[in-house]
Amino acid sequence: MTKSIDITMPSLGSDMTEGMLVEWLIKVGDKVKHGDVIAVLETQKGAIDMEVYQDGTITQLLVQPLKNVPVGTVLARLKESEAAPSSLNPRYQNPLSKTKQHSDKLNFDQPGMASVEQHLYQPQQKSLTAVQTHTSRHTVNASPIARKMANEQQLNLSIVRGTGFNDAVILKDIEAFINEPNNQGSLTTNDDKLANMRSAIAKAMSQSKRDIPHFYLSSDITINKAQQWLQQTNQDKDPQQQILLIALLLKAIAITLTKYPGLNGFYHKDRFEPVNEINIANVISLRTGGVVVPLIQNVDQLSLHQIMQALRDMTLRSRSLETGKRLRSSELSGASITITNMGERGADRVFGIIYPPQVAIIGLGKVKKVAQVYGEKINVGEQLTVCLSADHRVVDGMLAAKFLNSLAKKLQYPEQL
Amino acid sequence: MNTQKTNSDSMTYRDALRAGIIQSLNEDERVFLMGEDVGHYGGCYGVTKGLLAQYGDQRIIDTPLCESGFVGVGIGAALGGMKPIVEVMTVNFSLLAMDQIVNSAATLRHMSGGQFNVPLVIRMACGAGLQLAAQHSHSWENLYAHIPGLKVLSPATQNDARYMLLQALQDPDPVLIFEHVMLLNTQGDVLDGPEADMEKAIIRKQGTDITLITYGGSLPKVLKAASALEVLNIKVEVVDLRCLRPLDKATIIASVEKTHRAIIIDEGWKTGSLAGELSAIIMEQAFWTLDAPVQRICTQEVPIPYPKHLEHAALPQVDQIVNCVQRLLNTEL
Amino acid sequence: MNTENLERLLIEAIQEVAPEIKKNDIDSDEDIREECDLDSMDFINYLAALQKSTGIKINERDYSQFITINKAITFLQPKDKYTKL
Repeated sequence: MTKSIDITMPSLGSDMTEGMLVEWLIKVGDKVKHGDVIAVLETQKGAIDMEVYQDGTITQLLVQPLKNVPVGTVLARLKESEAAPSSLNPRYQNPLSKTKQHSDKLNFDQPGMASVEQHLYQPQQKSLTAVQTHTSRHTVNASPIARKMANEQQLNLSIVRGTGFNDAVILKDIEAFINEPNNQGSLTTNDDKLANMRSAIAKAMSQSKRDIPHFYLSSDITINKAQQWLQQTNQDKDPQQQILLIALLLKAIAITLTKYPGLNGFYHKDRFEPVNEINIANVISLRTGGVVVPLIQNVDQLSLHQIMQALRDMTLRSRSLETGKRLRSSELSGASITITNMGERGADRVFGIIYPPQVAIIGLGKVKKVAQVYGEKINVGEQLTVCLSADHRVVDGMLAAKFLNSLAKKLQYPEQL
Repeated sequence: MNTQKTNSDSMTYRDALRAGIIQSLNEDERVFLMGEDVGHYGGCYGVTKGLLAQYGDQRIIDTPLCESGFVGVGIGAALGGMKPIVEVMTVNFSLLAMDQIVNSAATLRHMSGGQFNVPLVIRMACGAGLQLAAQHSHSWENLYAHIPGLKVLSPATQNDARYMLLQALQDPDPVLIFEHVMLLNTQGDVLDGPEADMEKAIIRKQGTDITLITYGGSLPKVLKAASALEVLNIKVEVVDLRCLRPLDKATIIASVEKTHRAIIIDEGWKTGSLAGELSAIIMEQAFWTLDAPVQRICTQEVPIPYPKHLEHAALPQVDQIVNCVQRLLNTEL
Repeated sequence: MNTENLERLLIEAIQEVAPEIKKNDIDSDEDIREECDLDSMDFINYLAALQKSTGIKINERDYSQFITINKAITFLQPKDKYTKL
């Protein structure tokens, strides 16, 4: 039996309440597979490639591009393929961007997401059946000067009502659109985007500090062996094969987390729910201001080279968003823990603020040369300070301390990572 | 010179043409006029009435019915230092002189390495509307506007009828002047002198919403349409090309850049027309300023019919222009 | 390859990882990691981009040669004859 599945505006974090569909990349009748990018979204985290989580055929597109809609709004429907491979291959379903069939299983009760109900977006001007599939901008009639103007204003022509010859969008339509105060959202400048991102960060962090009783532990971890091992491994390698310390640390953290599942998961409805996969988000600071926090899935199961590859790729895309490179929706929701690495920027240690609904964040400080005491001898070695901020509603100090201790041990055997 | 009226007098296009010829005969003794029936008969359309008596048969010369012959003589006279005005009765018969015009007049300056120029002016009646049927109603300005070495003028107002001949005679190269038959009886103001150089287009009406580009016999229709549209609060800009070769591209482009829309009204057939050339120029030079596709209103693709209602239906008309403007601006009711 | 072309390739490689950087932002004798605010991940990506665009293999032991634009030019220029440049 085939099921009809609703594809909804995903929440890419507890702080996201609405998003804008910028462009459909598929049309009705298209076959899609799990992981296919079907739309571009504009969110407070910048432009995002939206993926689909089921295999099937698109049956309806319900929302026109360039409308802001609340998280959870049904954007499109899909008829699931007969032999749904998702049951054979139970890949991690993103809890925050899930589709309706999963919604009764995990229903988050977070501020900002609490009241998200499945509801159909009702277009104001046209009936549902009349909603056109603006699969690309090529279908929009617009005059050359209107196109030029829209391009200058970074405005998607498909939402501007055309009043010209053949209902084409013409110059005066663009001018009217721009002058309409309600449409300012469609004309986001880089400054606006930064301001949006700033307000999203502000909201999430305020909520975290308000609701989560943080506690902080830190540990100075000796990394002589890790550094030596890296030096040997990287010797005579070209840039593509390089492994940086951060990759090693991520792998060590991921493996350690498998032993301390109490730090890896979500807190909601007064209860902790562990997540089986180790999906680690990395804070990537943008040179233009703000941060993005994309995740790597199943870090414990990846090789160092795979982790390194993922980090390089993510960093590159995050920091060149303005050139059209984008993060994917699956990379921005569903992280079970977060890492923030401020050591590169010279900080000795960083005590992070937990990103809800997660329950822990690990801060990595600067690698320093220090005097290390071995019995009666003093040796010059390298160390870094790892800080753990944890949610006291879920975790106690002892578990946190054990985690750090275990992590320190893992890092003494880099060859095993 | 009692015939040379000045100071914004009103006169017919025909009288203005005659006044222009008289002034040129008076001012330069190298100037003479020849053509079929220009003397004793006074011109097929009455333009040269009375000139034979006034200037004598040395300067007003009736020719045999042989276009290639007397146009060739005109070219020879021009090469020999004269300033001939050759009247080819209508553009319809000019095909018989086409070899002289295209292969001799247009090319000699180039083929002689600049040693011989041909300061010849050829006047022709042109256009449809008098129920003269297919063979006597052609608009072949475009054929001549196609040819390097020629200049092609299309006076559409009484003032241009009055002064363009004089401007053409100043030119060292062959100039063709097309006089639309439907304009001959129209009345209008004639000023002290020409409004612009002969190669300049003139904005006959300022507007901001749309540019109507036209010339010759279609100008009155376009101006009429513009007035009708003004009532509907549509501000039309009317460009009178005046010179069909070379085209005053700067004026055309400047107007389109202002209004973002253009319609070309051309009595020629659409296929391979001057309207097509103008449209291409706009695409090439003003594409990113356009707010609507360029439109052309041309004559239907049939030999011009004889019956009055069919002839009317075949030619560009005022209501067609009005409708096209409204359609382009999407203001149709 | 002349110095200008080499410099252009270097700048383009930096812009791969940091598109907002303009040529004039960089002092060719200063550490580009500080000039352009590159972290170690960016730096690796920069070298990878450079290896791709120049066709010159960049070995780990030579990383220090790429700290400034001028150093990198000095390092890369003699390698010209061995490469497709």
